[in-house]
Amino acid sequence: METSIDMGVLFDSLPTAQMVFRPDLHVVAANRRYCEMLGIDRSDLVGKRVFEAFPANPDDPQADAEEELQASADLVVATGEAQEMPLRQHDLMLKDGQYAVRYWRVLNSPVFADRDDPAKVTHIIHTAEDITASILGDRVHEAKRRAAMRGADLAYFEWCPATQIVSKTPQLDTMFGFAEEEQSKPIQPFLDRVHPDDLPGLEAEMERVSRTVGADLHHDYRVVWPDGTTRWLIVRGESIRNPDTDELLVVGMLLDVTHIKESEARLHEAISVRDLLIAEVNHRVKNSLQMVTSILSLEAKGAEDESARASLSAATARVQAIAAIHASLYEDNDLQTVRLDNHVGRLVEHLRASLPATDDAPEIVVDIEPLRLSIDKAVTLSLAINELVTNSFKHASWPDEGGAVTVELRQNGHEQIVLEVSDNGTGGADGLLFEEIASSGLGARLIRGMAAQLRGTIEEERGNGWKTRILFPG
Amino acid sequence: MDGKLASFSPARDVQVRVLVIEDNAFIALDLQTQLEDLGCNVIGTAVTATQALEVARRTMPDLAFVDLQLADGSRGQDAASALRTELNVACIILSGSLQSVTDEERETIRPFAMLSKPVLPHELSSVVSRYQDGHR
Repeated sequence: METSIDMGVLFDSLPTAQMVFRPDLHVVAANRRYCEMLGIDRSDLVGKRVFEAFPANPDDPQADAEEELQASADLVVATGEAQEMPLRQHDLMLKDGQYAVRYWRVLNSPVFADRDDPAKVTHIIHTAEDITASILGDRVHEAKRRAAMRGADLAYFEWCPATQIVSKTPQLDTMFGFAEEEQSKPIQPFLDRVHPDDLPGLEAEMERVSRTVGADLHHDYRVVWPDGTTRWLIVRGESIRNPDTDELLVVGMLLDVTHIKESEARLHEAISVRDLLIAEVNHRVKNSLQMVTSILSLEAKGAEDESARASLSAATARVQAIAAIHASLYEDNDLQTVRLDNHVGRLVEHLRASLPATDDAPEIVVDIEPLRLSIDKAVTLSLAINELVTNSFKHASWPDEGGAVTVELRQNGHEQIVLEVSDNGTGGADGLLFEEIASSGLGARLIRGMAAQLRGTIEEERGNGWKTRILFPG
Repeated sequence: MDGKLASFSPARDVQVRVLVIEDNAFIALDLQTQLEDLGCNVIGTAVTATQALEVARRTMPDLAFVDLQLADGSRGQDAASALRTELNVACIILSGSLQSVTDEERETIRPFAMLSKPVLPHELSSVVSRYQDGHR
């Protein structure tokens, strides 16, 4: 069985980086891992003093590594025991002459190679571990935390429910209106400044989180400073078990969101002022329309002359057609459009009641799809319906049974709406045909004007009964 | 007088005695004319909540038409509430801002109807005949 192994080969093959030097810091050996780690040829190292091979970075003010190494070596020689060197930075000169930041964990262990004096430390094994990555990782972490703490609107804390002590960054004191302090404090003075309305909720939340490891803390509340200032805070955190003491800790952040809450409040106020203004304008419009219809109807009733009364009644009917829309406005949340089936139904009710109710008067039949239309268009459409239905009533005669004026409104394919008012009456008032009335009457001119306003076209059929169609984009 | 008139209008056994609470003169007059055409007896008008109550105590109306925003800044809701609780007068609220009546006020007033201004004549006549039918 092969037992002999070259100790030199063994040393060279060790997975840890090791270098052997004499107490006077002259290098006698270095294994492959060590040379690789430092990026240096063995021949540039062996026989030289340690720091000839590794000159200190002149930019590093703490580059007194040689003294530290000598002190450590002296201690190893004096005690005969291994020494761990303080964690330190010694930057490494790269081939291009630049320095790279390196952090080292170093153990110096004694070698007793003098057979005559076995207690004498002849050499020192220098085991080096490059911990740059983990050190810089911690540094990055710290830097991130510091960056997060910057400014007074964010604080970090750890609260121990068992002791009721809170350790925190000084910003936390500021948030509660205290002078900034570094040290830990009892939590009670902070709780004393929580808004009385918010305290029960916060305490319940703290209680809940401190019952279960891993529970999330998430709460908004107000604090009131002694001068009356109110600040809005958000706390976010979680409970963990402290690995050192096994106690439950609640760790988290506090965020001052007063400015956000204040803008929110201002926005709400602006919206309610706007709503109030809309309601007020709406009220005035409705009241004014009521006043106009009232004046017209009083005038109509007061008119002595028959034709003046007829004219005023027609004007009243036109204003009422507009009024009918306004009374049904703003009744749902949609302020821009009107549901036509509801609205036209109301208008036709009005026409039924206001047009002559003689025995042979026609019925008004309504067939309206539940379309929505902008208020402007709905007003125009109302007036058109008012004129067309009123015109139909001017027929001289109606069938004995089933005399009807039909109002239809439907979507016609894409984005086109059709209003159709048709009847089955015969003969115009005083024997005039529609064409003759239409060419002279205000009603017909209004119908043309309203069709134009709707950007629509008019189709008319006249025979036994009249049919008028207005096609317009919806 | 009521008895005499009633004998001339067989459709209406008893004339409904109405108080109009409305601060706009044109609207009040139109309302009065329309209500009289519908067979009501308008026994008084008022332009403020206080005046409404004074008139009502004196005349004891059956029904009041109540606008919400009255002269001197007083509120129709207050007038209607007092009319209901003190004199048990039924009210018809007539306004351009019906949504300003709270649920609580509505519970106190128990309005016979709420009509949005502008009110069309047929709406007025249908609510009046509904009242007449219920109080014949």
